[in-house]
Amino acid sequence: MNKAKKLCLMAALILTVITSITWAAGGKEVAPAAKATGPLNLWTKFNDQNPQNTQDKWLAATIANIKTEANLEVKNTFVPYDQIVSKVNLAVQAGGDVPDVSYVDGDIDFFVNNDTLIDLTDFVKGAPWFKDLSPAALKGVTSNDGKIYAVPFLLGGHMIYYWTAAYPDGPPKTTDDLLKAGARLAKDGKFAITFKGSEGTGAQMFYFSLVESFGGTYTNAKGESVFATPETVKAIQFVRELMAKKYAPEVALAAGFDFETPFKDGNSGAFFAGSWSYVYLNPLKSPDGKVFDNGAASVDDALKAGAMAIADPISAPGKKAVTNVSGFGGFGIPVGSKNVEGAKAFINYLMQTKNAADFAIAYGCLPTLTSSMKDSRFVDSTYWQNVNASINKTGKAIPMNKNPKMAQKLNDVIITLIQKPNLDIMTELKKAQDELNSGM
Amino acid sequence: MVSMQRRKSLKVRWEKAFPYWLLVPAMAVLVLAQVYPTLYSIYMSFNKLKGGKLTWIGVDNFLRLLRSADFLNSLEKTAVFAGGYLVLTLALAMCVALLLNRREFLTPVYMTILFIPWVLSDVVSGTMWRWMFQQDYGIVQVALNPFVGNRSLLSNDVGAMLVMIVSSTWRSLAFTSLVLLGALQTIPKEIKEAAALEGTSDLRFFWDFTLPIIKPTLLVITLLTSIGGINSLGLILATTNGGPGNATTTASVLLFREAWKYGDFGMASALAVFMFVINMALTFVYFRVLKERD
Repeated sequence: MNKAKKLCLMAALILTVITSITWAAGGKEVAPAAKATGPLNLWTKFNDQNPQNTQDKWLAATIANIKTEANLEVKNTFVPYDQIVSKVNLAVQAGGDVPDVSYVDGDIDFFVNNDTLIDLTDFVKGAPWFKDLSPAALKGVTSNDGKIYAVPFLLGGHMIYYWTAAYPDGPPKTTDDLLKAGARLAKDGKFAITFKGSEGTGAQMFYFSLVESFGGTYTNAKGESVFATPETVKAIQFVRELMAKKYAPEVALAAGFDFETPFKDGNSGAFFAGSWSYVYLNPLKSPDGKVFDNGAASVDDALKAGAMAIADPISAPGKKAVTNVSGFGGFGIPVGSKNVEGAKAFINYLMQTKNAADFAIAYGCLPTLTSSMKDSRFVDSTYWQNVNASINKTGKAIPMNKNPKMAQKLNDVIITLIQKPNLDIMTELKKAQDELNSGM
Repeated sequence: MVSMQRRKSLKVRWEKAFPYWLLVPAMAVLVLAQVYPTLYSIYMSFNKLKGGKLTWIGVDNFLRLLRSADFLNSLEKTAVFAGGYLVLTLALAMCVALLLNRREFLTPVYMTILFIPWVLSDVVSGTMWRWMFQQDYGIVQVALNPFVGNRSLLSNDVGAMLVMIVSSTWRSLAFTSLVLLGALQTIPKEIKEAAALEGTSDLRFFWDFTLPIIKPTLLVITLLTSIGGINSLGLILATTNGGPGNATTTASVLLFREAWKYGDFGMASALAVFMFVINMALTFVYFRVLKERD
C-alpha cells in the first residue's frame, strides 16, 4: 500500500475515534417527560403474569381491580428482586426506558445519592392519607434534608423466631443468655441461633440490632458514618465469640439464603429474621421432630401448635432491644417518568385503607397506614399483634447515610473481623469509617 | 490507447480496494459494539454520573480508586484467583491433552464428557457448585467434612477462594485442553520416532521437544487464561457473590458492585480502564516473549 493510501487510512481511523469521543462526550441529559400515552408503565419484583406466591397474586388482582375501580390501565414489568433497584437507577442514568412508577425496596439512600427518584414531598404532604401514615415509615423515605422520595407501604421489623423445644424456659433475651443457650444446645449438636450475616443485609439486620442495643449507632444526623465506637466493638466481640464457639452456623456468613436451613431443619434453636420471612420458611421441622409443611402457612401452624414462638431481638445485657425500621417497601416515581399523574393516581389507589392492608398481608409486613392496622386480618392475628408490639417497642429509624456503600462495607469488615480474630476491631472500624466519610 | 490504460488502472485499483470494502460492515459492527463502548467508558471514568447527567471531575475517580482499601483488596484477590486459576488450568489441561493425544479407546467419549462444563452457563455452574458445598446437604461439603473439621468451605475466606479456583478451572479445562491437544498433534512423527529409537524417556521428550515445539500455543493459551481469570465475573457472582465478606471480591466483582449496587458508574469506569490497562500490559508482555522466541 503506498504512502498516500496509508495516510488516508490513518486519517479515517483517527476521524472515527474523534467522532466516537465527540459523540460520547455529547452527554446524555434525561429527555423531558413526554405526554403519557398507553397504560401506566409499572416495574415491580412481583410476577403478575406467572404468579408464584401471595405477592404475585396480589399484584395480578390489583391490576385487574384498578382498571375496574379507577379506570387506570397498568402494565407491570417483572424485575427480579436483586436487580430492580439497579435497573431503575440504570434506566434513569442512561436516559432509557424509565418506568412511570416503580417498586423501591429499602435502599432510599441509594436513590437519593444518585438522584433517581423525583421529590414527592408536596404530593405526600398534600395527600388525604398523609396524617394516617406511620411516622416511622415516613422517616424511612425522607432524606436528611427533609425531602420525601417515595411512598412507604410496608413496615417490617426484625424479631427472633424460636423453637420452644430448644428454649423450653423462654427465649434468650440478652447476649449472655444466648451464649449460655449456645453452650447447652451445642451438646446436642444444635446451634443457638442462625441469621443472615452477609451481603450488606447482615449490617442492616442482626448486626444493627446488636450495635444499637450496645449503645452504638451507624449514622449521625448529617449522614456521616459514626460506627467506630467502643459500643460497636463490644457488639462485634459478642458476634466473634458466638461464631468462634460455633453457637451459630458458619453459613450465616456465606452469600444466599442457606442460613435459613439450620432453623428449618430444627438444627438451630432460633432464627433472627424479618417479619416477612415466614412466607419463605417452609417446610419446617422442629428439634423434637414435628413437621409443618403447609407452604406460607407453615409458620402460622407451628405458632398455633406451640412448637414455635416469637420474641424481641437479642439485646445487650441490661439494655433495650432494638430493631431497624429504616428499611421499607414502597413505590417511587423515577426521574424521567412519562406519566407522573398516572403514577400518583396509582399510589393514591393503593393508599386506601383496605388496599394498603391487602398489600401488606400479601407481602408479609405491617401496613404503614394506621387505619389499615385495624383490619381484622391484623387485629385477629396473634402473629401480627406480636410483630406490631415488637416493632413499637424496639423499632428505630436511623438517618440516611451519605454513602450508599456503608452497609456492604461495614458487613465486609465485620465478617473479616470474625474470620481473623487477631485483627484489632477498633482499628478496622476506624479505617472503614474514614474511607466511607471521605466519599470513596 | 490512453483511455484503455486508464480503465485498466481503475480496474486494478478497484480489485485491490475491494477486499477492504468488504471489511467495512464488520468494522462498523466492531466500532459500534466494542470501540465506542470502550471509548465512552474511558470518557465516563473522568466524570460523575448523577440524575442522568455527566459532570467532568478529571482524575478524581482514579485517585479515589487508588486510595480505596476495597480496590487494593480486590487487586490482591484478583492476583490470587487469576494466578491459582492459571496454574491449575494449565497443569491439568496439559495432563488431559497428553492423555487424549494417546488416542486410546473411547477418546471421543472422554472429550464429550470433558466438554459438558464448557457448555453450561456461568449461572448454572455457579449454582451447582454452591449447592455442592452447602453445609448440610452439599455432596462435596459432606464428603470433605471429616477432613476439614466440619467447616463450611464457602463460609471461609480461604475455602471460598479455593472453591472459586477449582470451579473456574473445571469450567475452562475443556477449551484449554483442546487447544493444547491441537498443538501436541503438530509435533512431527519423525521426531517422536527418532527419540524412541534413541531411547529417550517420555519425561525427557516432554521437556526437550514437546514444550519447545508447543511454546507459541502455550503462550497464547496462557495469555487467554490470564485474561479470562482477571475478567471472570459470572461464576464468582453465582457461587459466592464476592463473599464471604470480600474474600472473593476480585476487581471484576468490585466493578460490578460499583456500577450496579452503588450506581457509581464513574468509579466503575475508572476500574474498567484500570483492568483494561492491566490486560493490555499482559498482552504486550506475552507477545514480546513470543517475538523474542521467534
